[in-house]
Amino acid sequence: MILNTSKKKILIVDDEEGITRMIKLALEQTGHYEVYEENKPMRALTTAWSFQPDLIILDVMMPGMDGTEVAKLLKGDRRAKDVPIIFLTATVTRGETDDKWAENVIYIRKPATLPELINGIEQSIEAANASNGSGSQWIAGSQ
Amino acid sequence: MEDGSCINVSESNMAINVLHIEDNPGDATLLRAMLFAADKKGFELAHVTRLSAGIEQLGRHSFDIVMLDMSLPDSSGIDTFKRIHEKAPHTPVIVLSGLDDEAAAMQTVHAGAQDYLCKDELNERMLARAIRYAIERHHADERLEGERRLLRSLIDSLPDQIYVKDCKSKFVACNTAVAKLMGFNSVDEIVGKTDFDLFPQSLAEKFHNEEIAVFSGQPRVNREEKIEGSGLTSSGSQRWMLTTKVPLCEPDGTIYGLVGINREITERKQVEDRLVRLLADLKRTNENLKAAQMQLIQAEKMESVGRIAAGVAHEVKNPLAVAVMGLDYLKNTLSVEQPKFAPVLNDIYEAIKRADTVIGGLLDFSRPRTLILKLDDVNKLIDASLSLIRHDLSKKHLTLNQNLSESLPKIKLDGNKISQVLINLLMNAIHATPENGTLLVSSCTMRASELGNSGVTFPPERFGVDDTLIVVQIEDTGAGISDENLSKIFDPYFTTKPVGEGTGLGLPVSRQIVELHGGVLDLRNRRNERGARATIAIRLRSDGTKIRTKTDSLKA
Repeated sequence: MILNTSKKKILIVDDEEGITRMIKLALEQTGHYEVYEENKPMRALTTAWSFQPDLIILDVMMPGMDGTEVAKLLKGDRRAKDVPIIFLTATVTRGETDDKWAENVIYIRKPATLPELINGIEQSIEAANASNGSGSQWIAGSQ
Repeated sequence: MEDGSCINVSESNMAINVLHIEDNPGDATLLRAMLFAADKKGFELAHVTRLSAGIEQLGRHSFDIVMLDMSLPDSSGIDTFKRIHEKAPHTPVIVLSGLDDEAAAMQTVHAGAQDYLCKDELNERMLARAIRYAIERHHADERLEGERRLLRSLIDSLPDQIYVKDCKSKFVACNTAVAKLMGFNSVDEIVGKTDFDLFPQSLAEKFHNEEIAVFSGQPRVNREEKIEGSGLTSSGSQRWMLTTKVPLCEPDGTIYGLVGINREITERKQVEDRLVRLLADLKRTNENLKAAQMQLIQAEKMESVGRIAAGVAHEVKNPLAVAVMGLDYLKNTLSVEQPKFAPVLNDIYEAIKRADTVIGGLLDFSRPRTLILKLDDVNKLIDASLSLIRHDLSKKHLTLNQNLSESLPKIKLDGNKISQVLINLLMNAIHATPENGTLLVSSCTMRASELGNSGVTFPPERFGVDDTLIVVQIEDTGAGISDENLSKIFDPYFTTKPVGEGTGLGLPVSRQIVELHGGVLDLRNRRNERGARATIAIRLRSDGTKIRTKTDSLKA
């Protein structure tokens, strides 16, 4: 895979193909992002390993494994734990933000406009860089 | 003839037994002869010459009549009669006298004698007739007296006070209960008096006026009153008296007096009071039951709405998300190449936003709520809310009258949520008011009891009567709410606005928010004026402990 290093790599995990396709289209149209769609939440971690995204967008309510479970899996993984996550949700509730593990997680309500989504992505990456040092969150040599 | 000897004029059982007390033998013989001549077997005669002997005879035998000469060796004058009458009060007495003395005759008859006959005028037929009439008269008197005594003891044995008055309100008769009540020993002390002799002027006038009403034709006067003075029963409750006055009429209807009856009705009053209290209790219980039932129904509605809301939100928001993102993509592509599409894309975006708002309302309604409580100034919230709707006010040329209490204390509440309620109610009021109409917004503190008196209803467990409440009212001058709609305005999805303008969730969500604050949201038509009034009432010292929270079970 030939990567344009100036583009930020975004992994979007949502069981609804319409959403992942549309977000990919919209984000990539800006020329600043490279987006990978994953419609099976169970495969989120392995996809993350291979794609090594700068940020992961997770839908909250998905069949089989919901977004919070996927997030726990990612946060529990040695290599993926520092990748910032954005939740896309139809209902943002305090209960979710109260969870300790989700302290640095940004919630974006559906339906979000493209500027809202980009704003959330940039904020999240910036915050992650500030706490982990700039650059990729992936541990060197893990590829 | 010796004292005590009996001469039998007749043996017949039907004969009248006569005791003749006469010291003059000539007169005695004459009387015997006359009686015999009048009716041979009609009389049985016993003759004595002294009073003492006569008294002795009366003690031994029963006589139908006594013929008495009042001038005897051992007694004379009226005294003679009195002693005989005393000995045999039920035996009639005819006094025989040698003198034709009208005054003496009247005196004797008045004292109780049946007749007074002058010896010189006696003849046999007249004597016999006088004797028979005297006995008959005496029997009639006795019967009357018996009846009188019966009636007397009857009215005296009644516990009620009964009295008769003449047309000048003078007591003509009364029973002993009246005398006892007024502190007299005998009814005679009352007869002849009026209420003005017995009661203070003002009281007597009141009674007299009642009696004037009775005399002028009112068929009955009833008066219930507390008994003053010793007006308490042994159990300490108030004693009550019922006074009834009815006219006394001649057969032709002419009123010649009145009968009054005072009856103690304490027991009846107590039963009545108990009944009234029971009735009030029953009514209250019934209302509480109704309110509880309504709350239950409402709660069930809310719950089912909540359940479907989350599902619907998820199902609708995902497609909306696709649409918005797709729109953004198209905007960035098409707007540059074909600017004419820009307004079309914008319209689509606005449509999606509207759909999102509807779903947002649904979510607001179903979402578990946690209030973020902070001390806040309700007047400031009102001002902020008003500034947001000022444009809508001026669009309809509405006049806004504000009456905000300057001394409104701060209160712990969720400012954002209460603002949401205020804006909702204000928008409803604007919608209801015709152009150039008036809107009234007021804030104040009041007691829960005052709020209840103003017509606002709330579950009794919500506030104590002495609780101080912060009350905000928003009134419009529109057509008001029909009775039919009044019962539905807090139902989810009920709206009177055109399709697309109202979600039907504004009021139910607003009520939910106010109730989360432990308060009450009431909406009803104004009394005696056009338009509706919305009332928000929140307890002043609400520390948030009563605020309920639901656990979060809804995620997207």
